[in-house]
Amino acid sequence: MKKIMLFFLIFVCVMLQISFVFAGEDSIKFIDVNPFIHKIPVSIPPFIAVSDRKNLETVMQDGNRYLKKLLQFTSYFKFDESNSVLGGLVATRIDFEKWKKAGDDMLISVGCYLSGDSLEMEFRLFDVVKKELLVGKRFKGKKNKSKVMIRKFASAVMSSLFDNKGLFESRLLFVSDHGGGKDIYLCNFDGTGIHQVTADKNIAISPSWSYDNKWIAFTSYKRHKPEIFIRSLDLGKGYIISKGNLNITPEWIPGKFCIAGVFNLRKDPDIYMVSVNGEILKKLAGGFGIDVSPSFSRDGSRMAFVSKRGGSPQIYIKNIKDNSIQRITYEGAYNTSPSWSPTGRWISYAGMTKDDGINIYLIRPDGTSRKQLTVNSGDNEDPVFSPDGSLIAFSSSRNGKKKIFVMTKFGDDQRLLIRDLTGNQSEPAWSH
Amino acid sequence: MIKRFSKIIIVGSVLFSLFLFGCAQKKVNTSDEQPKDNQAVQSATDNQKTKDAKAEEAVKAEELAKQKKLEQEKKEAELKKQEEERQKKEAKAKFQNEKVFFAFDSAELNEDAQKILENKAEWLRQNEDAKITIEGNCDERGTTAYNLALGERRAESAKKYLVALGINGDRIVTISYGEEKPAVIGSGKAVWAKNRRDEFIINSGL
Repeated sequence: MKKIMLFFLIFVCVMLQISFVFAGEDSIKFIDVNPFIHKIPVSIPPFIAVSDRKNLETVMQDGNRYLKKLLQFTSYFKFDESNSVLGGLVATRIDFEKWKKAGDDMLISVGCYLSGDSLEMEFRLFDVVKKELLVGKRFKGKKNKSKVMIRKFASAVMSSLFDNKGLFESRLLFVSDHGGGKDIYLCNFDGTGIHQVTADKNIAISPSWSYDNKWIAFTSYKRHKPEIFIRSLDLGKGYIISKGNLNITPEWIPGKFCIAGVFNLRKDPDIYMVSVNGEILKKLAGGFGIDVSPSFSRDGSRMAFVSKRGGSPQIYIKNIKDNSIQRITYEGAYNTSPSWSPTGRWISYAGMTKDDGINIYLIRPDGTSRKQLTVNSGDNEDPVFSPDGSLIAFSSSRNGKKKIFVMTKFGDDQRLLIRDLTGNQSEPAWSH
Repeated sequence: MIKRFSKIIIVGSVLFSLFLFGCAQKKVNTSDEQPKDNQAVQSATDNQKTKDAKAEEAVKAEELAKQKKLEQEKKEAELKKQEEERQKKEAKAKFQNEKVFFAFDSAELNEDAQKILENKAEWLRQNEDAKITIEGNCDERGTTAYNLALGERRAESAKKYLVALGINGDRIVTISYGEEKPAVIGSGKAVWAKNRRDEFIINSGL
């Protein structure tokens, strides 16, 4: 008996130690360890029709599938396939014990009310263990807007549980040679709804979103040399920045209607802040060697970039206020393509080694906690965070041609994001 | 009556012929002495004839030789011209086709590169009106952005060297294509080495 007690005591101590080590990672309200290893078991039983059940059948079945698909995409949740009936919509009517026994931590109830063409949907997220309501939303609209309502609820769930915003409304820009030449394309967060933004069949690359998601910037060789094109997605109008013979890697600057880009004005390609009319506002990084690929923290206070000033391409961070510059990558002879997480707590980048091609890494802005996310899977480049900071999209040649993949920010669930598009895809940019 | 008449005619024509013959002879013999006998006259005439013929032939031969010489010279000049044109074409093709290659992640010019650029400078001196573009390229590894910058440096590196060799910088435009325009599609060291290059394009002037 004593032995068992002792063993149990040691086990508890060890577990406590481990939890101390991991505490202080990114604050995710609900779970503090890698949440993707221990996914939240959740049940979404069939929706309940409050009235006009006959005409609601399809909406409810499709809706149930769609909500599961959305939550599944985030990789935070796992679903059991039992189709148990709910019993009611509100907490007082639900038998939480039943769901707890089935292994669920959470439960979602959805009620639908149809009157003519007007649909009302009521969503509730429950904590099964605490028997509490966590999120409650009611939406009203036309019957064909059911998916919009479901997306809004899913966003509310993500926002409430994980302090995260806007994943389901977000979109991606990317480059594809699908049509011959390289052009810029647009799609939804889940890789659906692909449509073409440029159709020049020339070379259009390096797309970038403005912070209000209304403008894009990219590099195009349409006029026989690389120039930066700035375009409003709604209005179709825009600007062209053409200084000298090199205008590349445009990135919007947080809080300002201007661009950081790389230009060759003197001896080397350097990073400058320029207005959309092409006026040089400030030199951001320059000097000996190549400086390229600016990426800003969301508050605009710091800029990550690639520089060869130390002899090989490495990631540096510049503090915009005091102009101090610090190198953060020291392992590997070739580190490029930095992308700042929206939380400001991580930077993802692509590092090339002799043995394993190019892989995606994560590193803290102070250069600590370096993690390798891809291994032994071809070349993996161009990492970019989702606007909620939970996912990373990247291009990978693991299946032959370059395709856009997505994974959790810890490297789990690496899967193809953009399907059904032939050719090579690269340089994804995620909206803010 | 008729017999007497014909006799007169015959004698008359003979006398007339003799008279004519005598005159003719006199003409030929411009030299002072009267020909003593026909044979001597004959051979002298023949000699003269041969001499003249020979002289004519000589003149003709000279003329012919001259013509031949002229033709020859013309041919040679033609060949020379063709050869020159061929060399010019070759030099131009060489200028356009000969590329400068680089080591991984480098824009430095090794010895081979420098030699090639020296040849190109020579061509540019011979063709003063020519303007060119240098296109900088990279292999497929590494990020698009970084490779665009590296390609630019490779193009600028070659331009700088040409300028140092005396070529006016205004004649040279640089452009980077990064990894976007490989010469050879594929992977592996051999392919990559062929793609890390500067290409030289003649814009105008020829």
